[in-house]
Amino acid sequence: MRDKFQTWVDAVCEQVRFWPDRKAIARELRVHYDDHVRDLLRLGRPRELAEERALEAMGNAQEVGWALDRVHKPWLGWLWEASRALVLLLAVLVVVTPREYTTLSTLRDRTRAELDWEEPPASAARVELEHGTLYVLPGEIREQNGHTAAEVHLWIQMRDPLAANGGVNTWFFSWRDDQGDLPRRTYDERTRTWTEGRCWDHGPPWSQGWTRFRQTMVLLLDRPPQWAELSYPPGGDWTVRVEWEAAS
Amino acid sequence: MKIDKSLMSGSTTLLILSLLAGEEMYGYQMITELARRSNQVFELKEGTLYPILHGLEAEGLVSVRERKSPEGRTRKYYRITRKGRRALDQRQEEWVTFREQVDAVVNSAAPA
Repeated sequence: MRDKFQTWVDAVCEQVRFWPDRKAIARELRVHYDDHVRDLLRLGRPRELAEERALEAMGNAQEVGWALDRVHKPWLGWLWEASRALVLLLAVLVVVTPREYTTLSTLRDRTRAELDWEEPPASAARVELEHGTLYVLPGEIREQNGHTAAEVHLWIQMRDPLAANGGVNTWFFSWRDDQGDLPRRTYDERTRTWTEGRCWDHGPPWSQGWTRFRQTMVLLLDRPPQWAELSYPPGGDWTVRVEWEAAS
Repeated sequence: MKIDKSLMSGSTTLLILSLLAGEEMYGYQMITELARRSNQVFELKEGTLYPILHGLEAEGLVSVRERKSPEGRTRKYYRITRKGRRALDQRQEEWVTFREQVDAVVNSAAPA
């Protein structure tokens, strides 16, 4: 008889054109039918008879379906669904967007925290960029494999470096020392690689929002320098000079 | 005593809202309660009840919530809303007027 009820309820739901409501309707009718069967069993009716009576009491499936279809109007149902979707969308905009912003802020802060940063000493040379500030300070000079390695400490603070560099996450700085305009190679301590050529291509690790990082570069030269100048673009907008007092 | 169904059809909404005025109920409970209060005179068909209930919900006269019964079954409970109570008051007034006028006409036809 349970199958007979399913046939009955399927016939009801077939008449309801707004299909998203069918499941709830079927569930409610099922609970009702079960309640009725249980009551009849409690009154001592045999199960088969109880199920038959309960099903009869549900009425004509088609008529019930038509009546429900008149209430569950498709256009009204879809309008309701659309309004719910709109409310959901607004909720996403209102709730999730600030959360996304928070997430970005958190990520930015975390990235900042992960970067090696300490305030530059007052003696550091400084240049104001359009999108930030750069500090440089001369470091140690030492012999290395028949060359002279000269350290330059850099502190870089930038606002939106990606935008500042025309959407490219690579900055081509150029070096010039008192003997000419190039060191043979430059060393990036973060990537632990020596870069060929006169330009140093290094992109900040974080390219959205404010970022700042500290870095030591090593210039591989033929002999100890008196000074070196860093400029960007090569020979371009700004130049900052570092001078080694002890250089001979 | 069986009564003409057409006499009942016009007042089904009034009966349902009256039932819900006292407490929230689920569908099967309404049918049994209606039969009990009317001394088994009003026997609402299950299939008739739900389209009416869903219509009342669409009109905002009742609200629905799902709740677990003490036996652990999840049922839809219907509760009358403020708008439903106002509608009930209005229908009760209409019913009283209707009943008085029917009585007046029926009594006037009684043999002296």
